[in-house]
Amino acid sequence: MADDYGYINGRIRILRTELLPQRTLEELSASSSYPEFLRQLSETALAEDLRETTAQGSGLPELDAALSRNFHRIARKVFSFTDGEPKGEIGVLLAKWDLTNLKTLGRGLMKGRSSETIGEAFIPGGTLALPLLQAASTATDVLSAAQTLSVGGGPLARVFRDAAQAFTSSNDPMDFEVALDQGYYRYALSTVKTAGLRRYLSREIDVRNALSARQLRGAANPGRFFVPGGSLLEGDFIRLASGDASVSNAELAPVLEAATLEEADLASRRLLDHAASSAATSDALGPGLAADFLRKKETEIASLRLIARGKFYNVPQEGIRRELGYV
Amino acid sequence: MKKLATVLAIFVLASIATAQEATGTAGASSALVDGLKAIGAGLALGLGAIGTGIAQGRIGAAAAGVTAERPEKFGQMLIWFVIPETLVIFGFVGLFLLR
Repeated sequence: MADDYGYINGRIRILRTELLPQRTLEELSASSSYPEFLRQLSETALAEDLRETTAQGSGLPELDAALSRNFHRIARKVFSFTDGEPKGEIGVLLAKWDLTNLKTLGRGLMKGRSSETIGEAFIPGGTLALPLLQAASTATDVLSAAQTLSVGGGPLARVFRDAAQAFTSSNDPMDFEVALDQGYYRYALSTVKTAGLRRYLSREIDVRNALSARQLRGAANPGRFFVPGGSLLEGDFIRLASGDASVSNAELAPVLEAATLEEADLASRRLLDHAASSAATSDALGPGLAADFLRKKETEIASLRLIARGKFYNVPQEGIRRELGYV
Repeated sequence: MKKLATVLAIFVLASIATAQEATGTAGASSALVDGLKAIGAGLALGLGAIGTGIAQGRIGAAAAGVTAERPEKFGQMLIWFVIPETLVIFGFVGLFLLR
């Protein structure tokens, strides 16, 4: 197992050195204007993807596209140098974006959005080919989209089909999304054999359940929204959803006790960042390093989008820092 | 681990074969001593080489990954790669001391 990841982790360690350090993000958030932010950004490792962002008349959509392109390029690169069992395990990490895209697809079809609108919301970076997702977005309903995805959609196509059937029988979009989450984590835990990565996934499930329990407070029959696989049991989840914030796992307390949803979201991000860092440290010869790198890359891109918006709309630096979670 | 045990067994048998060869030329009284020396020499070099192989396999894979991303790191990676060779050199020293 350790030998399988020697080459992969060697490459990832080098890619990790190209991530923007927090100091650079702070400097970018302190830049005097949006053009100045772009100028500073073009001096970093992201420069090769930013060419179109400085053209006449270009704005946030061009920058968003450039950042998506950068993320997609790096994610594909990581996936391209894996083989055998590591390909399955790193594929599980990248399938997280497939899950997001399938949710986008389902929501779009349920609300009757056009295929162009749905297509614009897809995040490139997962294992599913974008043309396949775009073809599925032209379907008339989720069941037809599931049929399109069944051709070359891999294990998540089956998950999407089950979720589409759950939605058809109840007509509740929440059932669709919960079935997708349950299916994804079932597939992830059956694929991943490494203890460190399983621990990280288990923490992800706990955070997802804790956030759901917060939002479901007072809802009837909350048990059907529970995702198994984490350290939280279904009984705990139902108890938390009924309003009790005490939990045996003290690390989840900041998520459950946060005053607002934004604070809970920030606490959950910190918890997952810490879990990914721990996975990288404790599983240095396994897929933990890849999990941490992909999470850091995702956070970097999200932070840059936030700073760009702040600079474009002249938001004060303190406001940007608060959004980034530095305050 | 099973593969490693097999390779180790082959090395031990090879060392014994060398020892038996040595007994053919040595006198009857010193035959046992010479044989054990030959086994020891074989083990010193053989085990050192096995250890080096295991270490270089892992370092080599990681070094290939690093060099694929940063070709300019080749020299630095080469130094890391050859460090386990010292195990074989120690094995050689052991071998010559026992001969």
